[in-house]
Amino acid sequence: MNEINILLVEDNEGDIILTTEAFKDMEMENRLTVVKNGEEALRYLKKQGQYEGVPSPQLVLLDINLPGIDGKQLLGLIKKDEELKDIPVVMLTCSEDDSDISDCYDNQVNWYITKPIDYDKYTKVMHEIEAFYVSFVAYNK
Amino acid sequence: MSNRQFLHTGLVDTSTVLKDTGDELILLQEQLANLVKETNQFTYIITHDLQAPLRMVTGFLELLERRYADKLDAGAKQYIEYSVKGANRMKSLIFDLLEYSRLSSVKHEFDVVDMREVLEEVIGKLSVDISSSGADVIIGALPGVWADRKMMVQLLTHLLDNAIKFRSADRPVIHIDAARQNHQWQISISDNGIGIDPAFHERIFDIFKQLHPEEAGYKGTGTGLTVCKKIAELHDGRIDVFSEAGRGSMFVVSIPEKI
Repeated sequence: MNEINILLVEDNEGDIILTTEAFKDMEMENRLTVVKNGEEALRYLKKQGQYEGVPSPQLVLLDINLPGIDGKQLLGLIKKDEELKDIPVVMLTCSEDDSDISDCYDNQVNWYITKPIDYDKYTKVMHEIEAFYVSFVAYNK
Repeated sequence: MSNRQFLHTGLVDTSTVLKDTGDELILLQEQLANLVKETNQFTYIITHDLQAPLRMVTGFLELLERRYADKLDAGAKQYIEYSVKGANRMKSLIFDLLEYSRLSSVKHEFDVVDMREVLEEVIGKLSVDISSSGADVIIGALPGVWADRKMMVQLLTHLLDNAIKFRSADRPVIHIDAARQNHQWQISISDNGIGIDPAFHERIFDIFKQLHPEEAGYKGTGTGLTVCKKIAELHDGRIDVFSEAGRGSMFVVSIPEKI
């Protein structure tokens, strides 16, 4: 499979490292770009300012708790934007809070995963994300 | 002052006092409701927010083990092992506390729930434990009850799980039955397990109270029966235990036919 460009929107330094390391442990090399808040994510997605000419991400991993524009708001903005709405978004969250989940589905999140507690599962989840992406692309062709 | 006047004044005073007491009761009731709501939110938020830092601890301990294994000596590896064990214990505690707090914070959906169907689902969930313990689960006629289905699944899961977990040297024999009394359904689960000394009958429903520690081979955090009690109460019912040490246990959940 070809390399996937992934945009990770995450403010927690620890989570960034755990996600990056989990991707490193995977067989497949993906390109992971990290931005730390919703505003920066929007600039990246719209290729504004320093992000002029960046490749469009094929998948967005979005943390639900972000400073400023939070994950749910950003999800809403992406799904309302004609240019961006087709990029699959996977929501990352700490909890299985029902209200969080239903809010996200209202905003047409493509997939929703709870951040795993241990690292082994982190790697598994990253594999699942990749598998999700493959099936998503196949389904939407 | 004539007797009549005296009586009149007395009545006016009494009615004023009664009115004030009534107002006070309404106020206290409101305060109590708010307090319960706040406590539930508090527990929920705490457990919720404790998960993120815990993820950092467990995540990085494992990463440390993985990436630096060749640089660590036996002592360091043992320290990591103890830390992982502690973190895992905390994970279970938070997880179970979250289950408990969600009972009050999540919307309930009441409907007629077929308890036989619920039990079949629960038996499916616990099939590994049932077959590995060789337990004989005997099911009587179970009714449809007015309840929240998810909670009924939780309730029977904990009770059946306990009946298997606290088994004696004998092969576990577990009876699940129902009876109808005074417009109440009484669902009972009885076992031939190790039983509970009556001195501990109240304590077993307290959160994080375990009669048998994990070191003795009983996994868990001591929230199962607390959850069961809460579920019974949320259905305007109750849970009772009948047991003696060494003579098996019976748990009876009573819930009104229809709320």
